[in-house]
Amino acid sequence: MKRLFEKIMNWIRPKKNLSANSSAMTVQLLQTLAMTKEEEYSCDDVHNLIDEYVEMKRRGEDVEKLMPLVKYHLDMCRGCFDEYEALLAALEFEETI
Amino acid sequence: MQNQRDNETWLKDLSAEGTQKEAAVEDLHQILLRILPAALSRWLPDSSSHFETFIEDTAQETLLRVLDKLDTFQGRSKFTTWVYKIGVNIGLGELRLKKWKETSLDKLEEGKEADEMPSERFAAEDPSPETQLERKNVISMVQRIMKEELTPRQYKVMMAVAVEGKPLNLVAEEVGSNRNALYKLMHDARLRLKQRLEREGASPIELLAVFK
Repeated sequence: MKRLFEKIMNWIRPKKNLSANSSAMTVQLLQTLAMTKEEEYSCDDVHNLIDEYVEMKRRGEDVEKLMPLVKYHLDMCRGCFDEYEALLAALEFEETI
Repeated sequence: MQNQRDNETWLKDLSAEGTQKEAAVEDLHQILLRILPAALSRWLPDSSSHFETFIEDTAQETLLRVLDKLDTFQGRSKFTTWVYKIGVNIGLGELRLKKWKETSLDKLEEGKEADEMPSERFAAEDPSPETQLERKNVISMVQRIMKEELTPRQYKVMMAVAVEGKPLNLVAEEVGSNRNALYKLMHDARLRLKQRLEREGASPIELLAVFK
């Protein structure tokens, strides 16, 4: 009952820092726009190449230069970047067994 | 580890019938059960009570997808790397949805604001009245341009992903699309906004300077 009351109160309390949130959201958006390019790979494009990209990275090749559009997409897309990191972790672990 | 096959042998065995295929599937299953925890433990600690079940479910789904897409493997990486790629895509997709839903619920119950973005810290500093006015004008301009330039669908997706920080696959689920299509939609939206800013004589870099 107390939990329900707190939940309802949280809904009706005025929101704090609305202007700070608007600033932060605008900054977030402008940072993304600043990085936007005419030509970008999509998530599917990067998914198709990421296994090759990670193997090249593991071999010490200069992937940022060899596959710049993949690198750029990884900088822009959190979801694909996570998958890149997980795949890198998989290959690092594979070498230990 | 059972990973003694080369790419060609994996493809041959998994495309075969009977015990040859069963043995290859089981070997791949065992490999996934060893690799996936290492790949995904950063997003789901192995101390979690659901960890083993989650890994098993992800391994099973990965095997099904691998068998379904076997003819799309182009041999540009090791076969097992290609399989891990599919595994982390499935596993992280699930974890992202789960994490966002749990975080949103926790924040709602605790009465917190939406996720604080890194940019919040410097944007929330106590600026001079003049800077406050400049920031307010930039925020108004960006909001106006978004409303004028974007389609209702682009606006909804941009607000959810680029502004609120929702995972792309969660938004895709909500609007009945997929991550790839939404990335393209957002790319088009970002280009339109950037071009419109340029037409108005402003650039994102210049506008960002107001918040520093």
